[in-house]
Amino acid sequence: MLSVVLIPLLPLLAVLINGIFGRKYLKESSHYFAVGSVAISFVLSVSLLVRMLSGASPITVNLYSWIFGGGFDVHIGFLIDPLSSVMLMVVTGVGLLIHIYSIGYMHGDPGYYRFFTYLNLFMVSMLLLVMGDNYLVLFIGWEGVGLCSYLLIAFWFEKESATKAGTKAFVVNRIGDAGFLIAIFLIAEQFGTLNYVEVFERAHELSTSMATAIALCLFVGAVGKSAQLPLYTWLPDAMEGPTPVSALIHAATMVTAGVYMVVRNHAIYDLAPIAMTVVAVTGGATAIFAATIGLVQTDIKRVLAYSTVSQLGYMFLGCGVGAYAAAIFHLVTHAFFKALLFLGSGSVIHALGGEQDIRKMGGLKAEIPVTAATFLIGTIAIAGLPPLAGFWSKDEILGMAFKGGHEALWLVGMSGAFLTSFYMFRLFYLTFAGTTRMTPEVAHHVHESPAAMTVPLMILAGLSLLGGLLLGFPPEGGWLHAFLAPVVSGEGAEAHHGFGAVDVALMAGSVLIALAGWWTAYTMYVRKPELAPSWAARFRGAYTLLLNKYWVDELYDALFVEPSKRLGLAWGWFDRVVIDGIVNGVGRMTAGGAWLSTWIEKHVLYAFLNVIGYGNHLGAALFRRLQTGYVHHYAVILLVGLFLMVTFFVWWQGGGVGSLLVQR
Amino acid sequence: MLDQHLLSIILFAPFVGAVILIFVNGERLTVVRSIAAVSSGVSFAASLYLLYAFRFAPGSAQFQFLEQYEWSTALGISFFLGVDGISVPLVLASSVLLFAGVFISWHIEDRAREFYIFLLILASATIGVYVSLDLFFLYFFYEMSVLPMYMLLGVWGSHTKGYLEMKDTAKRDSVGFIFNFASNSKEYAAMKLTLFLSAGAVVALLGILLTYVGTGLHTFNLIELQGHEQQFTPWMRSAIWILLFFGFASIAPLWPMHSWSPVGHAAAPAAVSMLHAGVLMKLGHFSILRVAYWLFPQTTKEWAFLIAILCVFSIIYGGLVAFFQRDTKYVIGYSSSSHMGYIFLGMAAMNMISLGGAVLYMFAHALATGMLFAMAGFVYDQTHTRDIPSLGGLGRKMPFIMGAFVVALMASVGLPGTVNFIGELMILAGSWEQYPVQTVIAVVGIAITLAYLMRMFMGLFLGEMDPKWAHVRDAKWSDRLPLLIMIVGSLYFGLFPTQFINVISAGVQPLLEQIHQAGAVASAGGGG
Repeated sequence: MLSVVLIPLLPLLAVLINGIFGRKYLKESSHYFAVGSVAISFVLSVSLLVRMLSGASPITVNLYSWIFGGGFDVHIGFLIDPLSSVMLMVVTGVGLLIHIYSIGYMHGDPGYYRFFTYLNLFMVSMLLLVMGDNYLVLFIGWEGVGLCSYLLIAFWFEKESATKAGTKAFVVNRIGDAGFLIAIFLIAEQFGTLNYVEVFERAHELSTSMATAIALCLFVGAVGKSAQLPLYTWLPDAMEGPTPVSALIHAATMVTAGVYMVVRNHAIYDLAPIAMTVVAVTGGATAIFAATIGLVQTDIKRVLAYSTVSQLGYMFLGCGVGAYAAAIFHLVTHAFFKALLFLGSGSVIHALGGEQDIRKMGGLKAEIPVTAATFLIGTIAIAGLPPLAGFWSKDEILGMAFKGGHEALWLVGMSGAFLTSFYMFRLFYLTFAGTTRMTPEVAHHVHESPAAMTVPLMILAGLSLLGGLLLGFPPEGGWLHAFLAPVVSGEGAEAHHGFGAVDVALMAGSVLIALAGWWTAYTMYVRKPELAPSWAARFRGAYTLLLNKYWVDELYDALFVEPSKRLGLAWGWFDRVVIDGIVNGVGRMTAGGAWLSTWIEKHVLYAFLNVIGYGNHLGAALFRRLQTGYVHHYAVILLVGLFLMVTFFVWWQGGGVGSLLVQR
Repeated sequence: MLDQHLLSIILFAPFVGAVILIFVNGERLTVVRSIAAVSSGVSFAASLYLLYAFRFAPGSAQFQFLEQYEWSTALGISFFLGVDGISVPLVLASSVLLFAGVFISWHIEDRAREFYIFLLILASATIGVYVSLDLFFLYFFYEMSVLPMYMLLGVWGSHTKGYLEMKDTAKRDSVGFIFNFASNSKEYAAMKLTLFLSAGAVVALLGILLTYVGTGLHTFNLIELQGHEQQFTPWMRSAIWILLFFGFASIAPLWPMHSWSPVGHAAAPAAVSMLHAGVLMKLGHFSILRVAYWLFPQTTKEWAFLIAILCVFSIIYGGLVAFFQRDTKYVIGYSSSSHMGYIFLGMAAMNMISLGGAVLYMFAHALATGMLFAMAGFVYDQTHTRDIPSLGGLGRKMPFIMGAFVVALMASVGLPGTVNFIGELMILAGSWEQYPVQTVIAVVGIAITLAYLMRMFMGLFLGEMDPKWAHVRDAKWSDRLPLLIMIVGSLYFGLFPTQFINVISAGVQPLLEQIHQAGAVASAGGGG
């Protein structure tokens, strides 16, 4: 079907146009193709969603046979089912808003065309990732988004921190990809195909141990891409990129690819209870771990980055307890409010001329009211207060965890929810409330952002306000669940069982914990601002630990980077000294032998055999003449030698020159 | 007519160009360059035609485009050309890199005529190995490809960093006996490379002669020699196999015989590094396949474990050492030797997918590494240094090169969309069943590759630019054309590899049949 193929193809065309003509010709008008292509893709995605809603069966499109022959058969093909059409809506919808926002945000940047080229290339890769109908197409997208993420983090490539952050992101992701690749090999070995439909149909044939192995290897890939423990360290650093990139790639879409992948493969995960536990525990641990670091960060984007890591943890927690639909639900609402928060922070940074430190902000409510209002909506949404989006999705994950018998995980999730609410309101109050701490020259230039930036903010705010209610009410039986049911309902998922007293109690608990977080933040940063520094002083140890992010980066350096550095240097030394030593030693021995024989020649034989010695001299003179130092003489000698050889052979075998030309 | 002499055209076009150049006035650079471009272009076009004219449908002949001329009936030598699915991609790679190399070297003015003569002879000899079906000529071309390297390195090469800073200039410049050369001079590199490869070739020659004598057939014809493995005692054929394998693997270069390679790359001019890493090194893999695998299938099966062990060293060792090199060409050189490990892994696993992947990867690596060396050479020409820490921020000045470098980097790390991905994927997927441990290590090796290439990319193009590089320029047409050819090749065959895979499979299948049949016969015989 043409419309399916066009969805990734149009942005690809825009990439080519902007990539080839952007620098010289299009320049500041590069966004026409970029935004236009994404807009059309969005419309096409809506039309597909409508088709899916009307109950059409999944659409598969086989584009062409990609790797065929030699025992391999993989095609480039797309699968549109409810899950991928939900992902398509998120990718193209949020993507479109962020593209529009970028027109304002990147205005005047010398790399304007380059930015849109990369951004569109990212869209192409992300679309392939969610649309692919087999693991290799997924992998193309998976690697493509990794590359684009690198290119965009290191977009301002004259900034050293940005290039380092980009490299780190790329390399850490690749470590995760190693697991993913091995999972692909295992799947190919077990099923002889990489096509989703065929694999899932026969998934039940897998032994538990093999299912566990595949699921865990896939999860290693997801851990890298979705920044979970222990591979999360790249995501906070990735904030060096332009803010729209943080919003699109490092909040709404790419980092959720891992969640999408796990949900897509739930047929395999359902067979592997150990893998499920690993997923759930990793998710829960990451959720609370990242949230604690977020408590004390002072860079507006880094707070949001740790928050993203933590929220992704919730999604994996959901996957791990079998609440796949809830995980996707949270993925969608998170895309709304986290994109909103990032774009809001971008608007703040834009207004303040590049300032990102929240200690130098404050009191911005009056100066940039639209940004402040929308940011507040985002904050409430992520804090989990009803009826905003985050409440419904997060509560559902926690509720499913509790009712599934994972009380410990539920408790972890609830603690994380408290921390989330606290650090988000802390961020809001420090940025927008109170009196200003801006330097006068920054304060002088503060201005609200242009419409290209505020309109996407308002749309996302609207989605954060109502999205949860529209998509997921009533809990566990909402619209999204019904829509996704054909894809995610397996043995693991249970039928909707109505709304019981437990649910009400759990919800009340969630609301209370969110309110508690808000109240604490309000007390510490608005009512009694002197509390924050005094607490930091009182719990100095814990505060330092968090401020330094548990020294994980330093730990990895000491554990992995340093040893491999030493090994590399040692091997380099081994190469120079030992291997080359042997080579040179052999050379010296030859030289020594030559010297010795020369000595014998000169002092023993020479004395007696003058004639031979004289002959030697003659020969040497002859050869010396050959070595003229003119390079083309050597070339001639080479060719003449060849000719002589040919002649010799012809003469020797006695066939004459004619035989050479006779074809046998 | 064309089909009958297609291989001769591909093989001799550069050679004829070299002969014509001898009679041309070396001062007239345009004429010299045009002759080089035309003769290599003819070879390039003909080998592209070869790829699409090669028939791979079941039942097609294994060796096609045969040409045979008597040479010495007494010794059983004939000038016998022919290609199978394994040689076709390598012939194409050689002629692409030659064509690209001619343009990359466009700026050379110092004795350009002689440079092109040697470059053309080098490429011609390399192609000669790939199309020879006579063991004598295979060896002849093999040796012949080494000799021009000596000249090309010694005359047009460059010293590595450290050489020029040496205080003792008398010692530094004393031309004389080989070990008076400073170990980072180009003369040392040229000498080391030539001696190393000649030594390897002699070891292989011993294996070849033992084969020739042992079969008693009085022929060097590779097709007639096949199938006589059982005439040798198990000890003898193992000895011959080891001689052949290590002799040829020294050019590949397999760890620990790799130490000539990074030095050689660093000293060589860009076009020579391209050909060297792109196709010269694959002479090793190819000759092992063509001689050791083809003539001794059963022995190959018995010794494959050795390849599987050594390849891991190549992969990890090369990768980690590459990470800590300061010289761009050393990084790429070690990276190549690491990547050669992947090819050996594919060769060790010996199934359709892995071996096909190995052959495809040879082609893919030729393009990717060719691009990297071309650009390292370009940066060197502009800045006169290859020292990564003293470079940086060049991206502002050379956006085209930076963009092309990203593509080359993508290809080198095997990102999907490039032909390297397909090759790597096939190697790893094919090796997985037989050598899971090696495969996992190799997969991790990909992450290492990314790390050191990114480090180099960052060091060259990103960050603040030193004002002293204000004069550097971006690529001209003669630099862009070859890069674009290689980029298009890499992406095109990455998206549409089917033709290639079919051709390669047609070549790999008969070889594997030999290996697996030989094993079956031997075990049946042993059991009975």
